[in-house]
Amino acid sequence: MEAPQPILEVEGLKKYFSIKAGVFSRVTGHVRAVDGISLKIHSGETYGLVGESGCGKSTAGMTILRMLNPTAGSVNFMGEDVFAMGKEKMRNLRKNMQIIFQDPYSSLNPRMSVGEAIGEALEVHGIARGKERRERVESILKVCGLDSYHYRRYPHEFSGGQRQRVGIARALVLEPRFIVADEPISALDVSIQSQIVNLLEELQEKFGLTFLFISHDLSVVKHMADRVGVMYLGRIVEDAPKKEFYASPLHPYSQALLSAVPSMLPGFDKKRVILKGDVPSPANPPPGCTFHTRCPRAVKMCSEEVPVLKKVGPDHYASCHLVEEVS
Amino acid sequence: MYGYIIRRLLLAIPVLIGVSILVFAIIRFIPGDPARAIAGVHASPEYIEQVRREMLLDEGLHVQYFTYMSNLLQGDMGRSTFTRRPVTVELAQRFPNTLLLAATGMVIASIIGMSAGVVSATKRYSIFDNASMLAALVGVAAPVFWLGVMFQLLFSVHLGWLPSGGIGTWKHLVMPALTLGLATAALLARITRSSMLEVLGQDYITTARSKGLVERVVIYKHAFKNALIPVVTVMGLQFGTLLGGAVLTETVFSWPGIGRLMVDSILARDYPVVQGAVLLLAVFFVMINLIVDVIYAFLDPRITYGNREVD
Repeated sequence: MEAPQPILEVEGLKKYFSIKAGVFSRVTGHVRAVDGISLKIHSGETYGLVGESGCGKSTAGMTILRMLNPTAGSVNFMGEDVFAMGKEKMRNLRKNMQIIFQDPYSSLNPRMSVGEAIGEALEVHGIARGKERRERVESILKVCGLDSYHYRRYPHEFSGGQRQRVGIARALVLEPRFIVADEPISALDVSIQSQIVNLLEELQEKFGLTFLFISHDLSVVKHMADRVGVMYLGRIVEDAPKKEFYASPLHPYSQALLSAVPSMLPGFDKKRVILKGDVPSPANPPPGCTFHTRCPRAVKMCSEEVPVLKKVGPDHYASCHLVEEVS
Repeated sequence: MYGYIIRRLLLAIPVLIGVSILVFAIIRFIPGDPARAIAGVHASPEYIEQVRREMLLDEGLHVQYFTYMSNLLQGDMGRSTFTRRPVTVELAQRFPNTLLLAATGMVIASIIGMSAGVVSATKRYSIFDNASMLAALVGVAAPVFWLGVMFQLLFSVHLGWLPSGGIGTWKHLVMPALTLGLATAALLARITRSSMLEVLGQDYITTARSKGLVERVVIYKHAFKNALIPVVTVMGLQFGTLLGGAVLTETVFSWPGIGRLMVDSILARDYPVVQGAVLLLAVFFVMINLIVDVIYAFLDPRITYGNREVD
């Protein structure tokens, strides 16, 4: 499935939020939400970005879409530098990159009917208006498992799962190439989750979509993703093809995460790696390897030297002093 | 919707009856003898006694109240004990002036308050934001009578641009309306700002931006309209404050409205007029809040009153 040229290429992306204090709002520090991540996604592929809450995965997604202004780094999308674009060009590009939110309740404007909310984008980009607009919206509603009579309904008249379908329809109506799905199922009932996952997969096949799938649920990522990136405190600590990642995770953090996924086979429970303590504050990350405060295998070097993301296998990258680099 | 409005109107009846009882009682508890006040300082005891009988002041409170109410329902609010003219005529003469003042004040407050609030929210922590919020704090805190006198000092005495009081041209309206409106403007600015900030943090604002909308459309179509509900609530409640504030403003600027009529009547122990004026303001306040509730339904499709139609 891999094309030679990736559709999205992120290089050294950083997003810091400044902490202001005092009467004069002086900047007293920075929250390093995203601290230099790089990744590549090929057309039609799903990249699963996983990590604990607060590790910066959503911020990464938003910054890649330039819904937030980056602190540093570059994003190359379909051969163009996203961060170098002017306002007008950026608005045009939005057609091709869309977002699906975690919370289907706050992601839809309560004052707009579903038809208006979905159709608005068509009008803005001069794609369709009037009757044609309505037809296109109704057809995308059907594709997403809703009915054409939902056109006039308001968001509050839908259930959570239906709302998420509306959110997906909204993202898809412009026929984008790339979608950031920011925990699209974690706010839904378990019974609905699989429906939405299946819908996303169907749509991916039908429209040839490329996903950045942000999640903390490793089982869903295993199902959806072609490639997995693990984030910890704003950095990617391991990046590997799905099969390889689930078969032999190399970073101690990935190993701990995977050991926490419940096993399907009774009696075959893996040995759980329990992490001590909490995630350190991204405003004041520990020196050296940011994970060393919780790492079960940490040695002296880990608290002194920052590990870089290095090649540890064919197409497999990890940032850990304890893992051997391969050429 | 119509059913809802009728229900609300019916519910307003006990409220208004309650108001009438309260006003009636409070006025009766004010020390002083109205019969003596009306008859004059040099009246003979016999004459005072006669006035008292004519005004039913020798009867029990309940008799007085029921007589008043039955007359009221026939459109008779009694006569002013001071001018001897019907209270209805007095009120009808003054009320449009108060309405003009309050409405102009509200328009000024809405324009200044909402635009300052929106700009403050979109340019959070900017110099404009800090300055306008400081001004709003002062605006909320400054008493109307002080503000009015300061305006008179500046615009009438020093600059000589505007007349210091009275009614007539639009120039007469500027200062009282501004005085009356500024406190409400300040409050609206603060409410609009906080409501906007809350809405701007919602995901659907990001959704709107991700559609490729220009920022202006995002702010007005998606954010501002959603932020309006608490603002409209406060506007409705503030209308009551505005009418109350009119008492002071009208006194400061010698504006011949209900407020000044009330002050004059209280000083003259002109019970029927005070009673009528307070009742009129109460009816008006209840109506305004009913209108606000109806506006909600237009602002927010989630709010429905009574049975919703099935499509």
